[in-house]
Amino acid sequence: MELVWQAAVSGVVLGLVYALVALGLSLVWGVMDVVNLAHAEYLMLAMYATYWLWALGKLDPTLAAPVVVPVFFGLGWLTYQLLVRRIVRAPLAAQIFATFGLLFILRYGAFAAFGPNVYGVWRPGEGTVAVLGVPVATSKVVAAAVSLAAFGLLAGFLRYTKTGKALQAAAQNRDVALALGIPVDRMYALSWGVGVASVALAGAFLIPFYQVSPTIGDAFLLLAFASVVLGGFGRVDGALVGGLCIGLLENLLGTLISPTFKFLFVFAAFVAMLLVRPQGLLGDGGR
Amino acid sequence: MNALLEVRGLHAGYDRREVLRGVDLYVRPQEIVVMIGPNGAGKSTLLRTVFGFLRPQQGDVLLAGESIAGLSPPEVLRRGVCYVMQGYSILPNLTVYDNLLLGAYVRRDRRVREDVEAVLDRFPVLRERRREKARVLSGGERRMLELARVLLLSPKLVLLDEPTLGLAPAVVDQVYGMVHELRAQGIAFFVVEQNARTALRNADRAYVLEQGQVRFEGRGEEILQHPEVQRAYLGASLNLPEVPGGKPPPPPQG
Amino acid sequence: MSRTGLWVGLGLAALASLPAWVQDSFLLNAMIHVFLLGAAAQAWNLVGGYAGQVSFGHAAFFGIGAYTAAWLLSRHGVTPWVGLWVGAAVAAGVSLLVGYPTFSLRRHFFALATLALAEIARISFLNWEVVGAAIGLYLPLEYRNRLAYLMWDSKPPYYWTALTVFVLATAVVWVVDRHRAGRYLRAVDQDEDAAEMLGIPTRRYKLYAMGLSASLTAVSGGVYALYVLYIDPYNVMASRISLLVVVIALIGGRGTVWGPVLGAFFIVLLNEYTRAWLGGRGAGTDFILFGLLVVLLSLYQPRGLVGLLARPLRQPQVAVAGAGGDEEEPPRTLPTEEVVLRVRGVQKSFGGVRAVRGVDLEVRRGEILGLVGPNGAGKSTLFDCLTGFARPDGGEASLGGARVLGLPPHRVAWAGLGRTFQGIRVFPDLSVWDNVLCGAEHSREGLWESTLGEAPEPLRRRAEALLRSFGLWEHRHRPAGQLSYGQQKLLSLAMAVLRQPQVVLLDEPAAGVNPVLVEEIGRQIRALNAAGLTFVVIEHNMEFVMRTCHRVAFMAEGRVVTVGRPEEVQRDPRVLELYYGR
Repeated sequence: MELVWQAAVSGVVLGLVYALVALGLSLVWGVMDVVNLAHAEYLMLAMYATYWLWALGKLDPTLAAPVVVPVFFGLGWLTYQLLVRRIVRAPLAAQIFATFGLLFILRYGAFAAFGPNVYGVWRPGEGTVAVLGVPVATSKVVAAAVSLAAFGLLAGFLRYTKTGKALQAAAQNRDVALALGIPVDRMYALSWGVGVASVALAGAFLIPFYQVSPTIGDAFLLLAFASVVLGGFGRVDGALVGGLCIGLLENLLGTLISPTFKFLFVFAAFVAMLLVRPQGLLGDGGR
Repeated sequence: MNALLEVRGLHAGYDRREVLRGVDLYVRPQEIVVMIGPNGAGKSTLLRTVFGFLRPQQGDVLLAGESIAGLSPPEVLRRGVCYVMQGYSILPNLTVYDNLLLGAYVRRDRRVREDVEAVLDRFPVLRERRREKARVLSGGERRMLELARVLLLSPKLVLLDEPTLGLAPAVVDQVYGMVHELRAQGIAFFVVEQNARTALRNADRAYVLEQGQVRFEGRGEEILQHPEVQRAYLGASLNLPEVPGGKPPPPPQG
Repeated sequence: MSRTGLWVGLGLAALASLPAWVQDSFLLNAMIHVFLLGAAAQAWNLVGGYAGQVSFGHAAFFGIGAYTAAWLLSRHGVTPWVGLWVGAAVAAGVSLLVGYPTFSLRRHFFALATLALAEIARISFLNWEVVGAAIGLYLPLEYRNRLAYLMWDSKPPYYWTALTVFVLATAVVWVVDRHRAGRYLRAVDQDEDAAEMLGIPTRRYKLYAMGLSASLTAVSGGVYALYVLYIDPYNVMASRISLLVVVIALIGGRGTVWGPVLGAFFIVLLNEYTRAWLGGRGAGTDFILFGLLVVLLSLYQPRGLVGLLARPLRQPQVAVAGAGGDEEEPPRTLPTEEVVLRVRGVQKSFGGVRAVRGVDLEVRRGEILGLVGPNGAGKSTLFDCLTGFARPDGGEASLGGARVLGLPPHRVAWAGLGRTFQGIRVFPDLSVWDNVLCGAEHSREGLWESTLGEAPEPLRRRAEALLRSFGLWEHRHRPAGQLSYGQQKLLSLAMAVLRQPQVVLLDEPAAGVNPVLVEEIGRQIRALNAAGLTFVVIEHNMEFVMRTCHRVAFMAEGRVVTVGRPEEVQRDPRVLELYYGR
């Protein structure tokens, strides 16, 4: 029983981090119905950026985040202006391939720049924090806390600011938003910026306990998509619920049944959800 | 003639499909002008083109003498035209209050919240439900919200696309009541309606659109007797039964 | 045709003879990669190019093929001649497991599911002791130099084996492309709903393409294992392989026979040589270029290298032409009293809105029934309910006595109901001729015969006759997307009537068309009716309705208000009130 409780708690902690990774994907999908296959590549790049700031600039990742996040916001905005803007109304195949090409460019750009090696931030003397009686590595707890804060901030932004409401409007009905004078194109660019910035935030806090190499995007893309599908895409809280579910599933089933095949269970849950309720736990059958 | 809105020789459509085939019309300041006609005539396409959702293929749209053809919707909005779309024009998952607030999105002054409160005072039903998500509103309440939103911007012209679709007769009267009130405050209305009789009762002038062209212009319910109008709606003119309060029907045509 | 055949033959001979006059081991190795990855790309082409379902997980099938053949050989001494096909079968099975639940969803979900599959497979194999986990499998060297085991100690025999696999894969795609199956797959890719309505069982064809694709990929993976003699999840199941296969097919030109061939040569050779010259870090730089090319492709030229080379002549928009309008119209038939389509009490609500509230309708054999009414009356929704695109909440409908309500669209089509949609729903990238042939009778078509054979002769004659009478015969080789709006309308009419359904539902056949062509469309409908077809027509163009229809049903607020001869309905006071409002 002790084991199960431990697995559950660390599953929740991990799940919060997954949720933050999934947040940007869900946001962009919900606002403009574009599925960004290159989403996890930004995570990988942010992790590299944070790593190099630590390795070369001796900057602790927690301090590097305020540098990395705004830069990646700009990167997201730029990606929208240069590429995504042209495919928002394009047929699905064009969208899939455009983001797929982007994945290539980012991943192999990283390969060329950093080589295939694995890098990680090493902080000696890092301890654990007791969460509900279970000892969890400090860096993981910090990451989970940052994730919660980010969700809260974003929810607050969307609900209480004029721009946030305008963003919601643009997501709900593009024509009505235009008719109210909302610059929908700018809202889309904003959502891309926020989406990439949030995944960069996740990256900055992942690198202390997860190593980076050019191909980690695969696993994280899978986790992000599974979270979004489970929770319900297009909703900020969907990413949160989905991420938590994935984290829990992975840890609990991995502990109870087999750690080797824990991803298999995640996959099985993902496929099952697609069959039974494709709009996710929180979704309401919109798209 | 000092037209507020003028449409000249307008051709518009989607992809290669031509829907409007040369439309001419005008709306004067503070006028309520209605466009009726059967489905597929192009009424909604006309409004969408005027407001900038579609680019005209040929012809021009003038607002107060200036061409607005090809401008984007936010730009047309800033020039003083509001567009209330068919179906719904509200944001279903935002609260009533937020819907109103966003109605004033283009305003940069500080008086927005004051004005929103003033609007809520005028429409107690909306005040009551201001914290609820707009999607729970009934059809009539939604229209009320949409028209109330217009007040926040003081436009010169409002485009209404089928405002009474799916509404009960009592609510229809309410909606047109508000239209008259707003007109008295200086706003012109260009209304597209399928409900011809109601529209004609409330309009200063009416156009009949069929197959992308204006077939008739006139005023009052009597125009329903005109063979041109009957042909547009029913494919042929015919011997109509007695219309109470109107002129006797013309003798049957060929 | 024989000219291309000549070139292909020459090219093949040149390729086959390469090892005779080139000793460069590096080049031979590169070419083997070209062939095997090219074969995998051709296999991907079937499902990602023709059927339009993009997969990002083909490495899973490649790896399954490699592991199955290798494992059977090294652990059980089973010859690869058997092992390769076992691998193909396993891969096909897995692919169907993934495809079945996801094919009915939007295409993103299938792409994600394949991504998930590949990652799962890789991680699972990485940890699975039975197949060597991270250590991988070594192929036993004692089997070399025996044809029975497909293993050698020099490159040329591998070269020829790989070439054979590549030729095999290309041949399969060529056969599919040339016959009905290829046409149907491309139709499904371009407009799935329209394909369904013509009676094409879309899921069945997609699963078919999927299984075929997975098996061919597995075969190339198996041969690859026999060549490299050592496999692990990194070299046969990495995402790199999935992505490479997609890139080859994309840049070469997906949905074409030669695209993956061109792409394989271009991409793989470039990849091999840059890896050799730049080495280490530089190994990835060509991929950056590929990524850029893919992005550009998605924005500008979707046909890839094949598209660039083919450079189709951009024909000027075909002028609107009626077809022989001066022919005498056949006399109008009198419809019978027999009811062919009986609709009772059909209901459908969306959310809180009751779009259709209990519709009763009887369509008589041989008539043209008009369906008119104001906006929101529920007419198109009724059509959707009858044809399986919407699930009705209640009611029943029978066609010639057999129940049709609640069936999926292709089964409704098989039962004898045809339909056109509002606007235009033809397949823009298929030729006019291919478009029409999609309207064939599909209920008795087997997958095998549709891959190998063409549509039967009587059907082709009927298709030709239809195209001729619609004035489309001289345009039959043009992509349908180049026709004018009105001609596309006529084409969709031809497709709907080709197999002579019992009842044809037309949704606004004359909308958005210039008056000359409206006349023509009306003429054609009346002519088809004279030949025995029954129509139900939704229209707003009242003059058209009056001239064309025997009877008119007036619908408002989700119900049929009245049915009768056009002149009667026109005068009905309820109609006037509902049209003009209160």
